[in-house]
Amino acid sequence: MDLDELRRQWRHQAPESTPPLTPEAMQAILSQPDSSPLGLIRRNARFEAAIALLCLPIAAAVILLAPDAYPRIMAGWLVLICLGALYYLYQKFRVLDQLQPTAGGLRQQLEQQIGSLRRLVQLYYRATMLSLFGSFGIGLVMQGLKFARTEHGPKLALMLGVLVVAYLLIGWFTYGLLHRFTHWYLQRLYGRHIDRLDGYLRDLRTAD
Amino acid sequence: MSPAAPPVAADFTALIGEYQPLLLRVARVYCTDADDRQDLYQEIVLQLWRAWPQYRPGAAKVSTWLYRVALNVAVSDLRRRSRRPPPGPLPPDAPFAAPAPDGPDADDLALLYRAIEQLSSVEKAFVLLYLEDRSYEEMADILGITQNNVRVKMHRVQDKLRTLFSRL
Repeated sequence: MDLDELRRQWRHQAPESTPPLTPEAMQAILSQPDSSPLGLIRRNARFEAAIALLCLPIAAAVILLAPDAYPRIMAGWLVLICLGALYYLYQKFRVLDQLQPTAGGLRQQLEQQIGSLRRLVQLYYRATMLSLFGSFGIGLVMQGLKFARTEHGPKLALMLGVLVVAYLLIGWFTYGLLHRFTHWYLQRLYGRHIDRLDGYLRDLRTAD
Repeated sequence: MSPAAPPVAADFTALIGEYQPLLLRVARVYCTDADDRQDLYQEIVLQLWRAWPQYRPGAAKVSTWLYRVALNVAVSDLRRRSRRPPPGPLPPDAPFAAPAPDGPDADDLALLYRAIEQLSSVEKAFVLLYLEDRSYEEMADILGITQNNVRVKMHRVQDKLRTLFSRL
């Protein structure tokens, strides 16, 4: 079959039967909830940001009103975590904005998408690992304060030393596990898509 | 987009209405499943609407702008549209994956759609633009590569399409 003949047939094929596009039909298309993966990620991120924003005034109130040092320290820790989470979410929204399809050339679109997805993966990995340090930090501080309430002098120093060593060992083990899991999870979530886009980009560049 | 979407500009609706067959052809090339095709078509329209405020008629032909957005959505979308398994070598008696086209050239067009299914997303973009009779200059503009690269790649894709077509 001659390709030019196919092209002629293509141009004369009957259009797919669809209802006429009225302003109401267009409005209906544009009003549908965004069910794309990007839309879902964005919705989840907004939910996380709302929780972080909700926690901030509560933690601030505890810092200002609590009579004991212990809840104030924990609330201060929570403020730091919330601020870190908000910064992470801000960066995430920026990357998500860059992932939207643009009106640029396909090659530029693919390059931008691959770069943005890699940044998103990197951001996710760093945030996960930092949250591990955050969680362990809370545990260490809580336990350390508990010891300080009952013990004093060299015994307290010894107990704190053992605590730090135990946390370092458990932390090192957990870090290894979390690193492997996060790597596997991100590869499953984004890796195949990035590999596919990379393949498309190579495909476009094969003519170079 | 929320249910309280702003009223759609009449000129945008008119533009999409005018070019609806083009957008549907793009969706048809990339999706064999009717639901997937509808999803893709709507996603393309949504992205066109988002890009509409930045569109400057003097900067690019409207068809170039439409093809760019449509192909960018179709090729790079994160959504997993592959509800059916990716196409492997088709047996001679396999049913048509694409909906059977109507008209006197229906058989050839159905075979063409089957051949296109075997191509990669990027190759589909080349074939689509070739079938849509776009110039090399416009293809280069849409794909973001040089005209010379378009020529080289187009020859390879055409050869592949001929081979696939001859096997069907």
